[in-house]
Parts: sequence; structure tokens; C-alpha cells
Amino acid sequence: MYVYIYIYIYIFFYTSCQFYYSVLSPFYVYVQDLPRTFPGHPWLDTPDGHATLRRVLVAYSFRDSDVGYCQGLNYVAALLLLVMKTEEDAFWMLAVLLENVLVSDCYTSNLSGCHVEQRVFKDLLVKKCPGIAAHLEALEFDVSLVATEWFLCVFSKSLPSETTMRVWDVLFYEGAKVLFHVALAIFKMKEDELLMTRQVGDVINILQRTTHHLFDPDELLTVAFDKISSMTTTTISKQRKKQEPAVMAELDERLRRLNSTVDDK
Amino acid sequence: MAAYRADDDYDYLFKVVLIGDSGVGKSNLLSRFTRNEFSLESKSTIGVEFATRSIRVDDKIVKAQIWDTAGQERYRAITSAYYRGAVGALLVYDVTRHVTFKNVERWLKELRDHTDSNIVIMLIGNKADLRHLRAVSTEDAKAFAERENTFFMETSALESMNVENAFTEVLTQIHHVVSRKALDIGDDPAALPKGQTINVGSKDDVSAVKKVGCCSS
Repeated sequence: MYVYIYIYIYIFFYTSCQFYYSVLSPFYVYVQDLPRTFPGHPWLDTPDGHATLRRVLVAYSFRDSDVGYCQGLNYVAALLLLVMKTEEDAFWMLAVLLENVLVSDCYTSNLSGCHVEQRVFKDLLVKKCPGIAAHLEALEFDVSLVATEWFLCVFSKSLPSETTMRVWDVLFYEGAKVLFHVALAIFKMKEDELLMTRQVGDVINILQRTTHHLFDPDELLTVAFDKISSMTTTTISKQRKKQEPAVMAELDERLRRLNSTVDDK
Repeated sequence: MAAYRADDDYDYLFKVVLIGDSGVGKSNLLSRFTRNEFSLESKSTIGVEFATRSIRVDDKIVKAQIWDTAGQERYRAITSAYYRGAVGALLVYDVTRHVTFKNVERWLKELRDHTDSNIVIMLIGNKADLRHLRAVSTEDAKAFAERENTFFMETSALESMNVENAFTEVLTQIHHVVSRKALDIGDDPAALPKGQTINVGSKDDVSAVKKVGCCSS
């Protein structure tokens, strides 16, 4: 009789441990990110704030195990917690954002959706701001150096929170094309300065300084929607479809190369 | 513009990248070296951050442009632009977390896959102040570094231990490589943009290329 109980307990703990190792160990990263999300914030950076943020992130990682925890989501979830009444509301807003608003696979294991968005954005910059695009191309500046953070954190790490909130309002209402409008607007606003740059570092400095100081959401949104000619969601979807095969091929090729060099050893 | 003023009075501009797992202390190594600052709770890095500092190496002024980025595994594939033009790398692990040392090999592959073969690499065991929590021995790391032909140092960004030494050593080694003209810039044009042509008045040379106004070696 006791033997069975011991066996049962053993199996229970063994399977629990297996579960924790397989499911939870990759989330070590989020544990260390909790105090690194808006450090110094009067509520987010308290034990209560950390615990709440952890619950939302863990809950989401269980909802979509392909996404699990992706760095960047901590900023998004934190900002949602600040504006939603309850953590449950924040969780559902996060789910809607990732599943219905943003492009799919943005946060999954190889960030393929994010790669696609970067390529679409690069093409849009050529179309909408050809002068800047040509200059940056000559400097060998890749837009992903700045836009990765913009897209993955949905601007929450780059823009002042009040401005991010206004962008998100439009984003939830009109969809992911809004991110392209806003990203293009940031380049557009600094066109003159960007055209004078002579190295990649200066471009990054200008864009980071600009985003950190964009305290007037109206200024940004006016440029985003009045100075950048409108784009339809269908056009952007077509662009994504066009870029997808190239992105997938590139990611596969990278994996193949890395694995082969590892195997060679 | 600010970037073109007197602080740009340098002989060389070297791009050095920080790589390694999330939470090993890359951003704090960067802030300790460039601003002499340390923060136990700094924002986790997502995109690209960089800072510069000029130091004297031999009789030359070397401006180091240190780049820092996200460490989570899934971010590794979006960094080809990050590596472009890098002539030095600090591959950082956390001496208290063995898994971060285990992943060093993978990082090294990634690095070598994206950069010129003459890149100067230093393996960095950070958080060496946490002596009671150490999980990676100095000997193991040293043996790995020797096998992989990289430099090695243990640092503590918190205690400001060896940070200055590590960066200075990397920059000095890069300078030696450049002085010996060992950097084969013809081989991989992507690694060193615009490297071969040195235009007077241009600041395009974010690489191990001799800067304007300096005697041509």
C-alpha cells in the first residue's frame, strides 16, 4: 500500500519537475526582466508591480506557447497594466494586440513576423521618403537597427508613455499599418538632419533622441497621417506576402549554416 | 551638429560589439566603460544601444564605438546589421550562471559567421564580484578561450574591476592588427564598409581604418 503511495508521489514530483524544466526554464529571462521594465516607476518597480507583471506574462506564455516569453513584451504588458483597470483586462488587451492587431509570428521563436515587418518598412521608406532612403542606403544603415525596438515594443520603450498611448489608440482602431505610419513619420520629421549624417552612429543617435523627446503626440500623429500618404491594410498585406518567402529562406539558411559549423567541430 | 565637433578628434574609430546571453551584464559593461556608471536595474535592451569613448592607445587617439543589443536567443537572427563593420567583440557570460558560458560557443559561431576573420575577440566572465555564487571556473573559461584563440578576462562591472583593462586590451589589439595591416579589408567588403577608400573630410570609417588627417602608414 505505502509502496504505491511512494510511487505515486515519485511520479507526481517527477512529472512536475519535467514540466517545470520544459515549460518554465526558458522563462528565466522574464524573471530578470521584471525589475528591468521601466525601473524606478512608483508602482511597476515594486514587489506588487513585479508580481502583477509576472502573472500577466506567465499567463500569456501559457496561452501561446509558441510565443512563450519574448523580450519586449514586458514593456508592452507593463504599459497595458498602467492603463487598464484590472490585470485581467491588461491580459486580454495583450492577447488582442498580439493575436488580432499585430502581424502573426512577430514574437515567436525566430521573430519571423518581425523580420517581415522590417523588410516591408524598408520598402515603404524607399517609396514614401526616397531621399532619406537613398542617403541611408549609401551609409549602409539598416532600418532594423532602430525599427526592431519600435515594432517589438510597439513604441513603448522608445516614445514617452503619453505619446505611446495615443499611438496605441489609433493602432487598436486602425490596425498594424499605423506602426508603419508612425515609424515613417519619425524619419520624415528629421529629414533635414538625417540627410546631413555621415555615419550610421549619427543616424541612430538622431532617431533615438527624437523618439525619446516626442512629448507632443499631435505633432507626431499629424506628420504620420497628413504628411505620409495613406496606405491600405490590403497593400501592406500584399507587401508582407511578397517578403515572407525571402525571410523564411534567409532564416533557414542561417540555421543551416550555424548547425553545419557546429557539426563540423 | 554635436557629432562633428571636437570630440571627433581621433586617429581611429573602432566598432566593438557586446554579445552574450540576456542578463550577463552587457549594458553595464558599456555604461561602466563609457560613462563610469553602473545600475543594478537598467532597462533590458531590445534594439541597439551604443556609446563612445576615446582613449589613448600607444601614441594614437582611438575612439571606441561600443554597441550593445538584446541577448535573448530569438533575437540572434536579427543582428546581421549589428555586426557590420565590427572589428572587436566582447563575448560576455555570467560567471554565476553556467548556461551563459555554455552558450558562448553558439555566440562565437554567430560572430564568426558575420564578421571579418581578423576581428579581435575577448571572452568576458562578468559578475566576478559574486564569488560565493560562482558556477564557472576561471580555468575552464581560460581553457576555452585558448582553444578558440580568443582573449579572456574576468570582470565586474559593479566593482569596476577589469572593465577598463578589458576594453583597453581589445582596442590595443585592434590597433596592432591595423598597424600590422593584417586586416584584410579586400576580402569581405560587407564587413568593412567603404574601408579601402579614405576620403579626406569624411567620417565614414566606422571600422579599423585610419582616419583622415593622419599620416598614411
